[in-house]
Amino acid sequence: MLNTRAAAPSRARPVAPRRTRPAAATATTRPFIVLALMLACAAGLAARLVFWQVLQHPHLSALAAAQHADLTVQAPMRGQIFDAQGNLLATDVTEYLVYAAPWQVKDAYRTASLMAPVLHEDQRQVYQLLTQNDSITLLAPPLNAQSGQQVRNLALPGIILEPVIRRDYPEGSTAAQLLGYADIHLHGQYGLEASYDRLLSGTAGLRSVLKDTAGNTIHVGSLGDTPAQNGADLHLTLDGTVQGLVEDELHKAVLQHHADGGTIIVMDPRTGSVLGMASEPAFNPNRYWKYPYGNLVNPATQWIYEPGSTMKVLTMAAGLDSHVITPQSALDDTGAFRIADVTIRNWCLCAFGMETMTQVLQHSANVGASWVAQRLGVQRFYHYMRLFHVGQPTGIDLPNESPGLLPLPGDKSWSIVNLYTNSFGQGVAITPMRLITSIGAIANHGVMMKPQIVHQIVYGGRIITRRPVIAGRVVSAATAHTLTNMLVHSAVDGEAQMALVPGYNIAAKTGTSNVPDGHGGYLKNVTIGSTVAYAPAFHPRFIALVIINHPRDTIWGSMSAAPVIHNLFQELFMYYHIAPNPSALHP
Amino acid sequence: MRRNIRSIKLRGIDPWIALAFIALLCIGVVMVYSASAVYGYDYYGNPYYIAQREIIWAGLAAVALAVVIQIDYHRLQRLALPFFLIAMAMLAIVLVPHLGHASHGARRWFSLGAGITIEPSEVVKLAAIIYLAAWLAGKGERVRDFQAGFVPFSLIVGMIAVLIVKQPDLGTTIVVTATLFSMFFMAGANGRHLAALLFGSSVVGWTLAHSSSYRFNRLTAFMNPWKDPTGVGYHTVQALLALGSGGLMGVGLGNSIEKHVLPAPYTDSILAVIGEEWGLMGTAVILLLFMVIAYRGMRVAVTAPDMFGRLLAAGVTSWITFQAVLNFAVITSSVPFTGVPLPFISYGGSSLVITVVALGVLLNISRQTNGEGFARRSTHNGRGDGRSRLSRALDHALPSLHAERPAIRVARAGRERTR
Repeated sequence: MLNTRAAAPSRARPVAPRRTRPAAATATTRPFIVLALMLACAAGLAARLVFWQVLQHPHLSALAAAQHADLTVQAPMRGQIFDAQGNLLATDVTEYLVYAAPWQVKDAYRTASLMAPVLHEDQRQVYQLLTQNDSITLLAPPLNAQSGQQVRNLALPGIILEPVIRRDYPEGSTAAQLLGYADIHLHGQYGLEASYDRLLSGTAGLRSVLKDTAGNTIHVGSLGDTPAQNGADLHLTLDGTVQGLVEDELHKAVLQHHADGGTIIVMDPRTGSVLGMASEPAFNPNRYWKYPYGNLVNPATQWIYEPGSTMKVLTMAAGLDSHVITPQSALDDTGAFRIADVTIRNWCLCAFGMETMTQVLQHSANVGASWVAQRLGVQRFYHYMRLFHVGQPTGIDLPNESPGLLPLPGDKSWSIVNLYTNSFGQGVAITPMRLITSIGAIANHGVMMKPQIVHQIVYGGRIITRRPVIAGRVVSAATAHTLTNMLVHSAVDGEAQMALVPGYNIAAKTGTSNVPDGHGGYLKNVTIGSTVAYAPAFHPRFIALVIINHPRDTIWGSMSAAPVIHNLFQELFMYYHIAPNPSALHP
Repeated sequence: MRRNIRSIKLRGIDPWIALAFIALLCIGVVMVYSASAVYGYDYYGNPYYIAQREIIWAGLAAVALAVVIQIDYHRLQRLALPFFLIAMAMLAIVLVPHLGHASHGARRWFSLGAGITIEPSEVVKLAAIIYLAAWLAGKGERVRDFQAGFVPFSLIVGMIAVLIVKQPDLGTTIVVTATLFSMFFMAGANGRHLAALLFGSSVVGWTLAHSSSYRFNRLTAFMNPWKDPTGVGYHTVQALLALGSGGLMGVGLGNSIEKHVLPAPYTDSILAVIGEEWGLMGTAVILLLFMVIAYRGMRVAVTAPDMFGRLLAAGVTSWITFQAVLNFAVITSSVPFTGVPLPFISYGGSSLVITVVALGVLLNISRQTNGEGFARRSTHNGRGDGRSRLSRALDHALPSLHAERPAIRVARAGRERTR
């Protein structure tokens, strides 16, 4: 080993040339090694390219799209609501909120002097807002489109204009409970705005704007936009003129009788179309937030009451249709009708003696109605109540309709007394809409129509027209005719005479409802006066229900509600050009 | 050089290199326009702003190429040292504040006014290759010697590397170092010396990477760019998103979205824009074009008439190829991020001209090669030395090349006599 080591240096030199390859070989081999290295690199890079551009393509392109596509929601215009004449009841207006970013404002004095006239604000106040130490500040209440454009044209640095869409109700409180309102987020609340919210809202469009990573819009072609689909326009059956009359008459009556409020519904009994619908107290949907909850709901469909004597129309229809009575059937009204331990008395606590069925209606006799109920019996009475859909919702296109309350045989709260109290409208609670719809069946020759408020829906250029919907045949046409005749006759010189208009046959029935005290009895001196009527009686064009809630000067519906029918019908005859009938019972 | 353009002699140049170059330059002009339109519009109100300058530079480059092809490369051997010294002086001066023009946190440029800047590190690349080729050719067998070969080589490379790294420009440093190493290797350097050099430079590189947070962040970003996609990983992530969005066929010319957010879309990252607009098809074609230059360039190197020519051709080929490979590797996130232009394609004024001049030198060498030697020898050696079947196929497909060569050889013989 030692020897070998010592010898190594001397052996190294002769060995060296052998290790050195010929120069020519090096000159060709080594470039090939370098070239091979380059090609190997290229192969590796090709693999990397395939990896990123083919294998990772779906993932990376999705990431890139997510990075750049900034979806801006294109707000759709909320559908407009029109009455039958095409008057605008609800629409959208674009308003502008004007903000200032004081740190961006260049010349606060100049900015204030230019902005103040447009904003209708004091120049000094604007100046103060512009110079205060705030990141952003609202300068003024929302501006209309014209003022907004003026601000835009000024193009002042630090002034920011933000468009906002607000729901506007040009007619103010007209048909407020019927329409409801759309809140600041344009979500429909109450009324048609709620029940047709999805249709009215439309579909928000998506506009994908390309943004760079700093959030600036990239000005190249945009990617797959879906335009906003504006909401559907609603064309109502509601007649603006009728609605105006209804509201005026209701307002006058509520004032006159110092009532808590009231409801009037006018319908076309032939189609179920609601022509007018108003309730007091109302609200202005443009400023809905200022009103208590109670004003926002629609009493016509959401409030239930014991209908009282107006219910006798249904009792009589059941009696006539099942042939247990005729208009000439007579009873001896002693003023008291005893069942079990309960005695039913007339409203006047008086006895009417011998009276026909027509006279029962004329007197609005509770004893007479109970007598009919007795003749009908439980089975038949409730069979007809079910046919009239009492205790069921009408299915009108308004939200949260109350079905009402009708305890039926078999229910815990039902006893045989209910049969008799129900016959004159007690122990049963229904909505005004239910009552007018059910009685409308008598006006419409025995066929009950489903009430409708929306006549046409216009959506994306398509027009959907609602056809009248039959809710069912309730009584025969003969029964309906007979009962109408009875109602016309009984109104003359009867309780409903104040509802009549000379020269016209009007079928009318008054009602005076007691208000339950919540302890099984009724409040004293608190009543709901109501009258339901349709005219011309045998070829009805309209049916109306007037309800005056807690009139202070009279407890009777014949005094509070019937005169409203009179005023209303007088104007409706003129409006619908209905000529007086020379052979009318009431000259 | 008072000949008019018609008399420029293109006979004998390697057509494959020339065609690949023309293809790359054309792709470059189109893609620089596509990638810079947004920048030009945003900053100069003119989407053609950068593209117009690119066309001027490409024109200048073409003129320079036409001139350089005519200059016998042997003349460079005598100019090598002065050219190298001037370039090194520029490289040193550019680091002096007020003289060098700083941009993007680096001091790499001389501003000549009118927005024209010259990057000395580009000049140094060519100067160093010419000088080293001359120096190594002069050394002959003594390249293998430790004192005569290894030590001076290490000093030259080290000096260049330090000056460029100072700018700081790690990418160019890597390209220059790798090019000079490969020249040293091809000149017949001792394997152990090279191994030591590679080890040494790796250690230096590792130390450098850790010495500056700017570099180390980029290093970690390469490992996992998605960890901080808006910070240090931003450039890598955006480049990958561009590549990945392209898919197989790309989104179409001009449709790149990433060019709006990608840093340096028309310079160092132009490959990402190409990848997005032309897909794998585009990037693969470009990679192939560079490999054509690599293969044909090395072929020129092997068949060059003398050692200087061989090393010069190998150096120029290595430079162009390594720079392209590094650019591809960076864009595909295969190596830590570092900015180098993609030769002939990236916008980059003086850089383009210098690269084209280098290509002109390579083409001039190709006019003087003895093509048969390379082909024959390779055929005898079989495929064991890395020669591909394709190259043989090309030899057969281009008989005209061989037909022209005897004339060149005569011309070369004449020159050699005069020297």
